[in-house]
Parts: sequence; C-alpha cells; structure tokens
Amino acid sequence: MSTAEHAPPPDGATHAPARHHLLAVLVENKAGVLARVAGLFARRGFNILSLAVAPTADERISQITLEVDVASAPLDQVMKQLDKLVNVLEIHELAPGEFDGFQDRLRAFLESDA
Amino acid sequence: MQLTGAQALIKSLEMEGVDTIFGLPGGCILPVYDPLLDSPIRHILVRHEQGAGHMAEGYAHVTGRPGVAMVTSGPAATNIVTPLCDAFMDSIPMVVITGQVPTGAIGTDAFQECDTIGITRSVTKHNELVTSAQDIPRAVREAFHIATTGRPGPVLLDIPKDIVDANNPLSAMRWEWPDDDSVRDGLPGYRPVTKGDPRRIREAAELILSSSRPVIYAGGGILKARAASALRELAELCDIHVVTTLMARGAFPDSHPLCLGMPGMHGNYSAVTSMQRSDLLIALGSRFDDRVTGKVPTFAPEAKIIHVDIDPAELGKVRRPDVPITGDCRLVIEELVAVLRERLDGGAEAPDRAAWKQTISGWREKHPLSYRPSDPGEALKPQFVLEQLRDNTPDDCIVASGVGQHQMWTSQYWKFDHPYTWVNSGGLGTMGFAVPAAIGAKVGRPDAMVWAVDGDGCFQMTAQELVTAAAERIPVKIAILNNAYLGMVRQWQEMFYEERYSEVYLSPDLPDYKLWAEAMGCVGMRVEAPEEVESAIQKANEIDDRPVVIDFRTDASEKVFPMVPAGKSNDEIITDPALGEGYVQ
Repeated sequence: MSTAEHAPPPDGATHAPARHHLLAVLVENKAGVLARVAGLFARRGFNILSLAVAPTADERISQITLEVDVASAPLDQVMKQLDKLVNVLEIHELAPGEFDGFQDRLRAFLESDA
Repeated sequence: MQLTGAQALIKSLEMEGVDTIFGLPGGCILPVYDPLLDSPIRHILVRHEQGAGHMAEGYAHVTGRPGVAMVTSGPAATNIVTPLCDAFMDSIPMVVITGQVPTGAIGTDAFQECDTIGITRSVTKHNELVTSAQDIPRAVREAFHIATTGRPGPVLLDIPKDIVDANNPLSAMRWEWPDDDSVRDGLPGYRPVTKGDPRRIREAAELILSSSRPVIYAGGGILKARAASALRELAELCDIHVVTTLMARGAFPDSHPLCLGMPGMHGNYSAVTSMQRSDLLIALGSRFDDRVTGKVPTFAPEAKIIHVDIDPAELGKVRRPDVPITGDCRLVIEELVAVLRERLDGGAEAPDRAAWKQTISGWREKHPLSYRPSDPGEALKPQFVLEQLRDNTPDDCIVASGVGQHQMWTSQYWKFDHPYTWVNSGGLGTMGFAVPAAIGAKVGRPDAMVWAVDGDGCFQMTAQELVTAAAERIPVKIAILNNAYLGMVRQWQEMFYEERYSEVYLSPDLPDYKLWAEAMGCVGMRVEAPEEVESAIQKANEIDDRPVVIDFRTDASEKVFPMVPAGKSNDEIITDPALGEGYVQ
C-alpha cells in the first residue's frame, strides 16, 4: 500500500529550502500508526510538507517518509517526540541527495497515478 | 487452561498485582464484571467515570503503583478523558480499561460506540484496541510495563465486548502469561534510557564544582524516580539550595535549611529570585514549565543548565541545556554524587558561596510568605485555615487539592516533609480533582490521614464521589475554602480586568455544603469564626468511619501572593502590594 500527499515548494523550485528536512521513520506495521504520527504533528504544531507510507522488505515494518518544515519546531524536538511513540522503531534524517531522489520518485508516482 | 477473555482480563490484572479497580460497569464492559465477583480485587463503584480516573491517579500518586480504572464504552470513555489527560500531563502511571462495542459493530455508529482510541490517542502514553481474546494477557502486561517504566503515564486498553463475552465463541482463549522477554520483544520501539551518560555526568559534576550561585530545580521526576533521598544527599554534599516545583512538593523537606520551597508564578520570593540570579540551574526531573519560567527569554539569564530527565524530548524543549542527561533521576543523581564525592575527596573545592548564601537568607527574611490576619467579625483568612490544618494534622498527613487559589495556598502554607504526601493536578489544572483524588489516595494508603483542601467551585464539580466514599467507608476529610467565588479568576479580574467581575460569583449558601455533605452520608460542619477552626479540625480528625466535610467561610477579597503576572519576567514578581505593618509570617 502506498499513499502520498504532496505540497510543492511555494516557489516551484526543484530544491526545497534548507529549512525542510526529510525523515525516514520506520514504524511497526500496525493499525493506526499513521494516525499516531500525523496526530502527533497536528498536536505539537509541527508542519508536514509531504508524506508517503510504504511497506519494507520486512512485512512487520513500514516506512513513513516525511518532509518536515523546521520553521514550526526544531528538527531535534520533532525527532524526539516522534521517537516517543511506542510503535516508532527508528528515525533517520535523509541527506539532501536522497531528498532529491525522493522528490523525483514522489512526482513520478503522482503523475503515474493521475 | 481455557478461559474466557473476561476471565483472562481479570486474571491478568491479578497477575500484575492490582488490588483495587475504580470503575463503573455498563453495556460493553458488562462481561468483565462477572468474573470480577470471584476475584480478590477490590472494586470501588464510582458515581461518575471521571471520579474513577482521578481516584486511580490519587492512588498512584501516594503508592507509586499504577492506578487502575475500568469503565464501559462511549460516554464512559469520554468521561474518563479528563483524568487521562491529567495523568499524561503529570506523568502518573495509570491503566484504564474501556469497554467497546463488538468488533463487528465497530465503525457502524452502534449504541454507545465512540472512537475511544482516536479520542484518547493524544492524552495517553499509549493505547490499544485489543482485537482478540488471546491477546489480552499480552496487552495487559505491555500496558503496565509502558505505564510504569520510562516517563510514567496513562495507558488505555479498549476491549470489544465480543472478545470477553462468555456466550461468544470469540471470547475463548488459552491462558498464557507472557514472560519478560516476550514483553520486550513485543515492544521493539520502546526502550527507555535509564542510565545517564558517564561523560555527561562528569561534565555536570565539573559545572557544579565551578559554580558560585547554584540552585537545584527539583521537579516531579524526583518523586517518580523515588529519588528523594538521593536528592537530599546531593544537596547536602554540595550545600546547594533546592526549589521544589508544585509537582515536587515533599521531594525535599520544607523544614530543611536548604529548602527554598515552591518556585514559579505563585512561588516564594526567595525561590523565584534565587533561580533568576543563579549561575547554574540543576534541573532534575523538571520541565521548564511556563508557570515556573515566566517569560522564557528572561528566565535565569545568567544560568548554565544541567538538565536531567528520563524523557529526552524534555531536554532542550524550552531551554537549551549546557549539559543534557537522559536518564532516571535516581540513577543519575547517585552517579553524580559518586563522581562529586570522588572529586571532593581528591581535593576539589567549589568557589566560596558564603556571599550567595547570605543573599538568599536576606531574601528569605525580607520576603517571607505573609498575610494580614482577619479582624474580629471578618471572614476567615484562607491562609489561617491552612496553617491551622497544617498544625493540627500529623506530619505525614496526605493532602490533596483542587485547582485555583486554594491549591496555591496549600502548596505555600503546608509543610511538606515527606515525599508522596501531596496530591494535586499540576499540568492540566483540573478543577474537581481533589475529592476523587483524596479518595484514591486513602484507598492506597488506608494507614494515613487524608485531607483534601478544595475550593467551593472545584467541590461542586466532583462532590458526588463522596457518596462513593461514604458507601465504601473511605474516611477522607474535605476542607472547603468557601469564598463564594471562582477565586483565581476573580483575582485576575480584580488585578488585570479593572475589577470587572464577570461570571465568577457562586454564593456561599447555594448549595448548602453542610446539608449536601450530610445528604451524601458524610459529617457536615460549618466554620465561620477563627476560634472555631482548630476544634472543628480536631473533631474531623477523630471521625474515622465516614467522610467529613467542613465548609470554611473565607474572605473572598484575599489574593494569592507572591505573583508573577502571566507572560511577565520572573524579575517582575509582585509581593503583596499592601504589605506593611501588621503582617504575620
């Protein structure tokens, strides 16, 4: 299963401004986990710019890929609050190179879906 | 062994050592109430589900063991949301079990259905909809494990009716109690860090040894970590003053010469100002709450920060620490004491702090807590009632409070010399907390005397639980400071809204608290004159077979001081503007 929401950068640039960070969040593949992650962002006032969920090779684990706007809260605080969710296993910040790839893949996905 | 889900749930609670459940049955949880009849677990039948939640909190506050509440689905679940949020804000270990409509009916808007998991997600440390009877023991073990380890908090289990209903084949299960390893393996994303980083602990020790004006800022985490004696050892070893936040009252004895009492919006002048002027704040299990810091950019501007907390998200959330240490307060303090002792034994010396100590003594002498005693014929001063209550109850008396002026006066005027004797709602500020929390505390500590200090506004929110207390013979004692107002709101309207009093008057006589108490099976008393206060308290102390309610008629114009107005710097602390001749300490 794969879902995506996408808000393009306001200036239409390929590269997102530096205040945007991309997080790969490995979570237990259990009911309601996406709601926990999204609910945490809403509750703490953190901004999500884009989000995608995908299965991993291990069926017990899913990956949530999040593009966060750190103008709303420091990245450190976002990651620590995420890590407190019992179903969250690991959080990695993806490097800018991986970020470009993600944007491309996401765009390709959205276009193929349309 | 074959059991029904209901039997497995009760047996799991027994396995977790639960001795008391606070609850109220209803449709979906009904099957679980049947095997409860055969269990040694005591069930306290509340009159409102909010009461069950606050009782479980009060029980947890004084025992350190998780409080347990069990209620049905829908409105019962929504009624317990407030206690869940309260426990979440104050890190109280609690396990709440809610009934849910049968699995097949979930999502159909069935009778008494609500999205309990969705509603409580943001007010619990974790929650789970249990979908099969076989999962019940695991879910219960995980719930207790999560509630009581790391930063404690409430955990909710939502149990659909079909998996516990003996008449439904889905409730059949084979009993198996999970071992520690399987609990650990079942929670791969939950690994609280308890041991502090030794390198950081050494850095903290060096900061302490080089500081001239250190203050220990002790929070509720000290109590959660059972770290009161470790804290005392640290303070005495390094001769450092301690402030105890609202959640930490009792974590360090008020009678200790190094204790400065409560900091914050209504804190002691010396506690607030010593933090402001310090060059090192040693924050132990505290979270830089806005009621403590005032305006953050001007809070303790010269202080370096050592911040110890079991929740890494607290480190740097409000104020960037110079030395952040994730870990259990007791373990970290013990390590810190060991390092400091080694350094001191090796000849290390802290800077001369005599001038700093003298400055603090000066603040304490110049700005003690004070109020003007009432003139003959005037209404009782609430502070006077609290002094009398403090002086006429045992040293280890447990006191619970609601939220508002009476709460601040209790924290200020009580003398807390023992941990786990103060039960209040700090983070959420839940009016109506006192009565049910005191009942839960008395159930947890039947050997201790338990008083609740309540406001008249608070009392009216949850007083019906005194029916529970009377029926269950739980002899709590309630002192209502009845000033006929929502007093704290009135204080703000007087000070910040040009005395335009909007919707704060409650009437001293409606309801008649004495008659109301008697109608609920309690002893009711009314006290209006200072000379009656002590004898009424002593009479209440002697009653041990039913609850007692005393309606103290207090002065509505009395305000809580000191005060740091909301959003202002702690430097702008107001001691009583009318302070002058005739005040008593």
